[in-house]
Amino acid sequence: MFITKYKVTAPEVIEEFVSTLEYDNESVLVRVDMMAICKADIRYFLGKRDKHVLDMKYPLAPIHEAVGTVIKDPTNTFNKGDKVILIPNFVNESKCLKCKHTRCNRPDLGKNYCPYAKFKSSSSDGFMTPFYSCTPDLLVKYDSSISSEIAVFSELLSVSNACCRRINFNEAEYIALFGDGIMSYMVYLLLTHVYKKEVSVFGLNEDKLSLFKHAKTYKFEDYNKKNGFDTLIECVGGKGSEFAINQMIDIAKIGADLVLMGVSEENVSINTRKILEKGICLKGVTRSTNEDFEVISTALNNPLLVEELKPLVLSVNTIQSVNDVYATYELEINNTKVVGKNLMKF
Amino acid sequence: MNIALILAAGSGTRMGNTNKPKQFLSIYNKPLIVHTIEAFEMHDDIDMILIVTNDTYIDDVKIWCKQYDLTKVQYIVAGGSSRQESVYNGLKKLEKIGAKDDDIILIHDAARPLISQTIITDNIESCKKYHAVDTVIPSSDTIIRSIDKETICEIQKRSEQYQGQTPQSFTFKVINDAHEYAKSINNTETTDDCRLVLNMGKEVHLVNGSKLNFKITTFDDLMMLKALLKIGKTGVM
Repeated sequence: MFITKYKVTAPEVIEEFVSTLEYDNESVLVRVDMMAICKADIRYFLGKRDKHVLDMKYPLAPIHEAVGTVIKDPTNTFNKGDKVILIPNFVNESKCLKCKHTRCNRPDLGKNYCPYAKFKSSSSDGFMTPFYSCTPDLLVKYDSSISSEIAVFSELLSVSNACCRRINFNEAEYIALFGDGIMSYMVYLLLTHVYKKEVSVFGLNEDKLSLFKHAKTYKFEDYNKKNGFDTLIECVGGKGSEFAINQMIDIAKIGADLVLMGVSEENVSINTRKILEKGICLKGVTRSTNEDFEVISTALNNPLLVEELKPLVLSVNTIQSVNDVYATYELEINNTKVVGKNLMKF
Repeated sequence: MNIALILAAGSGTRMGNTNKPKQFLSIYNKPLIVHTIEAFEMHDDIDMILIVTNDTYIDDVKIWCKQYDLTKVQYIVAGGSSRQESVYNGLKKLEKIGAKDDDIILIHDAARPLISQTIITDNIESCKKYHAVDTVIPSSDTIIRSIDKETICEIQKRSEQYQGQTPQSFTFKVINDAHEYAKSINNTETTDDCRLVLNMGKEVHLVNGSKLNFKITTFDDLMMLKALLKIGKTGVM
């Protein structure tokens, strides 16, 4: 069968590529039902990475947030028609025996920090294709009653769960989230509905903050009105993360954990003196493990969580040509005021 | 029930120096027809596939269906001496197995392997509403009509011109009645099923096709397909 893939070939250029669909008896064949564009996809599309890096990446099929339906499974792991979350990160285990890093077995890290791990839409082609085949370990089943428009947020939720794994809940009585965007919202949802924790959210935009219904919300300028957090999570990214991290350091308790989730292309300057004075621990989270996806698959059965995911669906765009891909990217790039995503389906 | 009727009975006389009909030529180690069947096999809303093919290729098609696990292909019937007769043979098989009046029949050329899932979906959805639909793309070229092959006799407005593709989709009753009517008036050489339905005074609605859904008719078309696939094979680090 011939399929059409869409790949970013140069900054702001997406092209159609026709290829044969290849699958074998060790692969599950999946129809891709729904896709969401991530900020990283936008960075590759706009060419906002080092030129040398971009030259190595292009042409690159975008999208690492996707769900699908099993069409065929010769491995008998799934049934035809099963709804599955597509896992974007995979490790080449043939290199494990010679590995010197020996960190994969730490439950708070997992295999995805492996230097040999690959990630869809970054170091290998993403899911921007109507059909996709992979080994069964790269799929996690979710309940068929959950709509694909909701399940497509699983990857973001899984990364949020990886963040929650870095929190020592026994010692984290007061948790603060910095950022009013979608990543922050996902962490808020898990902390509220899965880990049943109270959370304070600090942000810039009052409209966005109003979405965090079960949290105490504060504007960034009022950050010092609330003090003494055990765990502070940064979901700001970019240049703004410098401002946010320094505020977090200011209001952190002695011995607090700072979890950094926002991506910044440039180095940020932070108050290391105060980090030393308070004995603060910085942790980085960008990736999730299969276990995180399993947690999210179960969490999606919680109707309260699903209800709070619904406002995130800003539009669903059918992709019939490259023009539709450009149009959806444009919607995502121009959306700076509303928490949510413009989704794509074939 | 949504049934794909795939036409693979063409002789391939415009394919240069090969005697093999185009739909059976191998592209990336797979007969062209298999690529086309797979597009329907993978579509959730297609319940059954019927292939109409040359007598001499029936066994080959059976083997390929087994080899490539094409489980939705339930019937393979012999084609006729014309496209119209081949479709008719397919319809008579469907009638024999008890096709219902409102079953949707998607008639598709085996030599259009780049059919997309969206086009199949749109055909089914539009056919449910209108009972007769044709897949088309707006014509980007001006269509010139010439009867003597030397001078122009007509140039129509380009904005009203479309290029017909397949699938052409109909409810079983509409297309079966149209073929029976054509047969009753000795109209046996029509190359387009929509024409037969229009002859019955019924409307046929349009469904958006795609330039990629082109038909492999000539050697140039085959080269075009191979060129497209080679570009698509560009690697990624």
